[in-house]
Amino acid sequence: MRSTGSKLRLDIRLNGADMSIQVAPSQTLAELVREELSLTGTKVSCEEGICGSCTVLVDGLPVSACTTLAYEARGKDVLTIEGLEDTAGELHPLQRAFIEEFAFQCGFCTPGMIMAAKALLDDNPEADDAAIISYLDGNICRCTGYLPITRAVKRAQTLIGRGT
Amino acid sequence: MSTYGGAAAIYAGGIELLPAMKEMRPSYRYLVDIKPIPELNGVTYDGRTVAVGAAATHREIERSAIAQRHVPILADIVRKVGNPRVRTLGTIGGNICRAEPQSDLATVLLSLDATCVVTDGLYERRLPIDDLLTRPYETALAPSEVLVSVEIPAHRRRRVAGYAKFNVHERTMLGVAVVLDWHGRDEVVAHRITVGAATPTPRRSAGAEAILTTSMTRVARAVPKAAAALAADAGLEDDEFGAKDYKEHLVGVLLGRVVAALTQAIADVRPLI
Repeated sequence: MRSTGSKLRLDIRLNGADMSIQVAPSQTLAELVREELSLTGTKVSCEEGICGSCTVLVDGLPVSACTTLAYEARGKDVLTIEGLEDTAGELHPLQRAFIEEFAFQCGFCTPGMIMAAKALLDDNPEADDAAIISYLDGNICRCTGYLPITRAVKRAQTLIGRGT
Repeated sequence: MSTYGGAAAIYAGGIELLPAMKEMRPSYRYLVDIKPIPELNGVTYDGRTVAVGAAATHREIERSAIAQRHVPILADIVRKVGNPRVRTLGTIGGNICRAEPQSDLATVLLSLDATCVVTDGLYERRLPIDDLLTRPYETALAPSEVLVSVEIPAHRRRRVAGYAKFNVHERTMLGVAVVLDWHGRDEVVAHRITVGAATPTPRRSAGAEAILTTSMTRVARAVPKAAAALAADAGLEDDEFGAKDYKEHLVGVLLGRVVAALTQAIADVRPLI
């Protein structure tokens, strides 16, 4: 978006690390993570908050980074796909489940799908098929189809339940 | 807002405003974030009325124990707005003030007798929601006014409310909301019946309400006549989403579904009261 006025200072926690950063008031959260911080795992497609490929979590809740001002993240905890693996570099159970179920082809929607699924499972670990489908309704995939994605979320529930 | 005039826009969730600004239509130099104003937040109940702050998000309302208990249809309808990301940031005030004709919430709020509290900082006005929503994408708000809260009469005992809609692609094409009261063994009073999405703003139908104010045993049979009255009051027209007679048919189908669900709900709880 067009930048006007002076810069704002934001104190945020991004993927577990506290940082203080200058942003233009008009900068979106997607522009901040992708262009300023080179975290390009967050994808941008529709640019209007519909497709879900830019889903990131702010204080654990999903938002469309493409249409959320970086300003909204002030004082908050932002989690992108890059923050999912643990400190030892092990993939998150959701990431492993997506690989094991082959729940992607081109992969462009995958980071958003996984972040949305994380928000769901953090809130409702026992989510059934209907709850998973309803929650992921706002994330669009145009190649794999949704069945493997639903299966991957269910597999992740099992992995998380086993603590593996 | 009075300082910056047309160069400024009120900003809450940004769900509609930010995508529009990306297209530079319109373009604002200043956004005034109203979310930090305490009076515009929270869901409260004073024993008669549920007041929802204009900056309350869909997610907050969906999870509000007050909304769930005193206006359950409100908690239910905001659970279905947009997608989870929209519900994280999107606010009830933004939904109303955008005056999007396809808003499910607006049709439901009209059926609930919602009153909008607005202020310019000096004077407060209270407008029924159908007075606030003047035309598609237009409200009766003056440039210096802001929506503070939406007041909804709490459901009394013996009141049920429901909503049914039909979607074309991502958007609601037609929605019907019904609020029914019941008395004694067999009496049904149709408190409010409204239709929206296919109309420029949500419309109420006193004719349909009169027809559905009848007995429990007759209410299902009264649906076709009530649907005709509702469709007539809605002033449906042909457009790219459907033909007029098709929409009239849908009014009957959706009204029938809501009334069937509500009479079943009454039958389920009546023996317990």
